[in-house]
Amino acid sequence: MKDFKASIEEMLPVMLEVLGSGGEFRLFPKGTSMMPLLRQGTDSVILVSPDKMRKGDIYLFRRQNGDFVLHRLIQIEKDDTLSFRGDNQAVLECGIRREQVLARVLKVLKGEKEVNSRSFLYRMTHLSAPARAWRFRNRKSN
Amino acid sequence: MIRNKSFIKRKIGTQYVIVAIGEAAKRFHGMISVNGTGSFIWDQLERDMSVDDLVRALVEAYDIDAETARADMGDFLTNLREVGAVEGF
Repeated sequence: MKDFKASIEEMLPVMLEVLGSGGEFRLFPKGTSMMPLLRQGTDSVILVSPDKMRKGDIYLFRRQNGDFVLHRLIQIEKDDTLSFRGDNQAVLECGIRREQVLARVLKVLKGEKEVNSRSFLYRMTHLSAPARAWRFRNRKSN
Repeated sequence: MIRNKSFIKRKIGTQYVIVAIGEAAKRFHGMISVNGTGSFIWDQLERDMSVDDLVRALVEAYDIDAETARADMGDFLTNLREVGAVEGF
């Protein structure tokens, strides 16, 4: 079976069909915003239907501009909008509506090794996010 | 042999793939990309077909000889069987 590469946009109908049937879908994410948990090319996520929103979990959502984002849910705001942030980022992205959320990460595969969303490793990078964000803000600008 | 109803053929871009849904999609997370012949074989397996039935169908559709047909579909059927997409070997 050869490697099959496609954009999320192209895979979206199939992905939604699989998730809607109660199944799981594997995705290899791009970018660095979720480092060190997710490294482009080597790590992948197993997605399930986003039944409920839980702080600390990672979700796939779609921005108004069409971009697909895989980030951690930091806060469920009083107005029921969602605030996300990549583990490797300092900026909180606010105002996301539930309808924009397409999937929830059930587990991460680092290489072929499973990291469950309830495990310490998975949640540890999230817990250290404020510290990393503080360092980012206080970096000398040289 | 016949295909498992928990596996479906869909098009992604210009490529046909076979993917699992429901409970089967909790065990098999991959997508099997198929070419024209594979797609044809998959369509045939909607009904219970023996290997000979498949060979006959391929020979007729693609104007090739039985030897070539048998050789071409061997690996593909093995892959399908390994992931549970086809039953009743």
